[in-house]
Amino acid sequence: MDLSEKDEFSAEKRNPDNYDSVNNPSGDWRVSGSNPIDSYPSENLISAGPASCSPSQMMDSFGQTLWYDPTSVQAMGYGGFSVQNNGGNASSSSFRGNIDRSLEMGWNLPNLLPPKGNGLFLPNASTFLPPSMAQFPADSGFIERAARFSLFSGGNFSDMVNQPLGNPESIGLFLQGGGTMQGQCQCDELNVGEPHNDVSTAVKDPTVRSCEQAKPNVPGSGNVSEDTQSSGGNGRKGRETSSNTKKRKRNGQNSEAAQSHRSQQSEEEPDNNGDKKRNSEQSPNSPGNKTNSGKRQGKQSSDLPKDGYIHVRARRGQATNSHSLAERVRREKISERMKFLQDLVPGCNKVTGKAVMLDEIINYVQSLQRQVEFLSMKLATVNPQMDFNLEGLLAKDALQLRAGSSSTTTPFTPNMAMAYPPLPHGFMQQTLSSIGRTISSPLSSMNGGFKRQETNGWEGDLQNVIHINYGAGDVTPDPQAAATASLPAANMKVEP
Amino acid sequence: MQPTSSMNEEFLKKWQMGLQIFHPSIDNTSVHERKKAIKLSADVAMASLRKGTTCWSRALIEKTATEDNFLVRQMLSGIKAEALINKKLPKRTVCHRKIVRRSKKILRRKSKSASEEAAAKAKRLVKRRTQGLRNVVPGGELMSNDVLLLQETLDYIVSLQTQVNVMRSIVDAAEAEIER
Repeated sequence: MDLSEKDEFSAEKRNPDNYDSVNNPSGDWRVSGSNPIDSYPSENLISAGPASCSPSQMMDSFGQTLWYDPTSVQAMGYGGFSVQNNGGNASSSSFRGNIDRSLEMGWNLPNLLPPKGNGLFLPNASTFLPPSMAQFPADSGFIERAARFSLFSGGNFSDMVNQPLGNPESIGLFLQGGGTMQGQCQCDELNVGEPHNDVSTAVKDPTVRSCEQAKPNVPGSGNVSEDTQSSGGNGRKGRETSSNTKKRKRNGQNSEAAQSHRSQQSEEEPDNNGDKKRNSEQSPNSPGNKTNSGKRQGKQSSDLPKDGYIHVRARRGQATNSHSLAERVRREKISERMKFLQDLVPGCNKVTGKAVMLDEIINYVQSLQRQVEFLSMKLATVNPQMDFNLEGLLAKDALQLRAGSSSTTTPFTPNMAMAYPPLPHGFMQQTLSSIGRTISSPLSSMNGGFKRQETNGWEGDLQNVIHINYGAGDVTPDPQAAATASLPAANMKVEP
Repeated sequence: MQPTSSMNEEFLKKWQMGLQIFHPSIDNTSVHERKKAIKLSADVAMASLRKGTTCWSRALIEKTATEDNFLVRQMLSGIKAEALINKKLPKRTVCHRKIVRRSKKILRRKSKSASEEAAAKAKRLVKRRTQGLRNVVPGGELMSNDVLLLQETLDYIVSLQTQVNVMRSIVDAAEAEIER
């Protein structure tokens, strides 16, 4: 698919094809779109750029957000961008200013590449970024700002991150990344000559500072470092052919676009910041198309911005094979996800090891699904008319939701192995009590036949519930047996 | 990450919207029918919260569409429904167990050392569990790699928690009403 070729700068001419093949729904080109999982290193976003995952999957994961029809861009003109720039932070406003400028310059859509000059290989990036960016006559400073902007999609991004995920760490990383991003685009040329692993993070700081100084001198910024990606095996990352510093200068323009799009990707993975290492391979045309351009510390977690790739550097004494590096990145990603899951699944803090964790996760998901079944059954019985009084319930909900959110987790803390019984047991209690009540109420309002039908239905369902409880193992049989025995009776007593 | 109150409210709204579709037809007096209606509308509401960005949400919507297409189309107004339902999900990969087992046996013969075998066993366990996870999470079989699977699981768990919280609070409120 075209996506895999995007990162080859030589493929400039093919870019128009990219756009044609891109499908895009409405002009919602906001980078992270409505992706709520952004605070986690979002594979989705990373995959968008360099395509390793299947195209459909990539499209799917981004939903409608990233792809942008050139024609519609033209139609929407500036308005299309303004839709997304709700955040209105500095970068977005600067971006808007740039857009105005470029609109004045009059970009034609079919002519995707500026004929000369800065030769930003924007189309490359624009497969990831809105394609319209490709047409902006390369004011390289503009490119940079655009890259910066795209990284954060205005303020939207942090907003988006804030809402669905209350993960302060990730947000902090985003902001931090935003701060340093400005320096990053230009940075690597300064880093170029640097040696290897042992360089401390202190190295980074002066470069960042100098980068920020250099920032205003945008035209020289063509030499944005082309940090190439990390894991070839992890196809999500793009491939670059240019490797070393000299090549960087040549392809500087191209790299900028790629950088921005890569930086976008990397932005989406705040949690991988710590993992940002560089591939130590120097071969420009490594088969995996990996190159390591600058050498930075893996510790430089705020280095995200430049590129969307996660640069992986081989640690000291470790294999530098591209495959093993990719493996390592993948493993680290997985362990990161597992850590999140550990926080989410209650009672998993002491559990170590993938297999046990996975087991717990499976059990937890299954129990949640079962809870949903229970609750929907209960609702069906509690409310035969199914007229859920929203206003009345909502008021109470506001009070109970907060309590409810904690209650999901608390039943499970005592003992994961026997976690399910407490909750279903509680359900059983409530279900029985509700049935006791509701048996009497339909009697008054409906005919006897209905009641009989209801009772039988409830009995069958309750027996299912009881069996499930038995399966969980902790529930003593006696109350259940007593309950079932008493079910057919019109008046039921709840026996705990 | 825990479900936020805004997520709870959104879910509640969407769920109520779905339930309204059933409200006119109260002839589904059977408990099963109602339970099914409640659960399906809750599932679609939960999945639609993600607006098609996650794999599991699309798979879930597709699953409920097979059971109750009308409901799904009503709940997801217009374009979104079409886009979600018609999206081609990746093919489910089917592995014939016999072939897989045989090839694994052949592989096993090679590694003899104890530590290797232990590692291989651990790997097998992990693989089995990930397969189990794929079975549980909607659309799990369609996810090509483990990282994506874990991410989707994460999101799915959060959504499930939202769903359970809201449903439980509604049940409690409804019961409190009845008690009065």
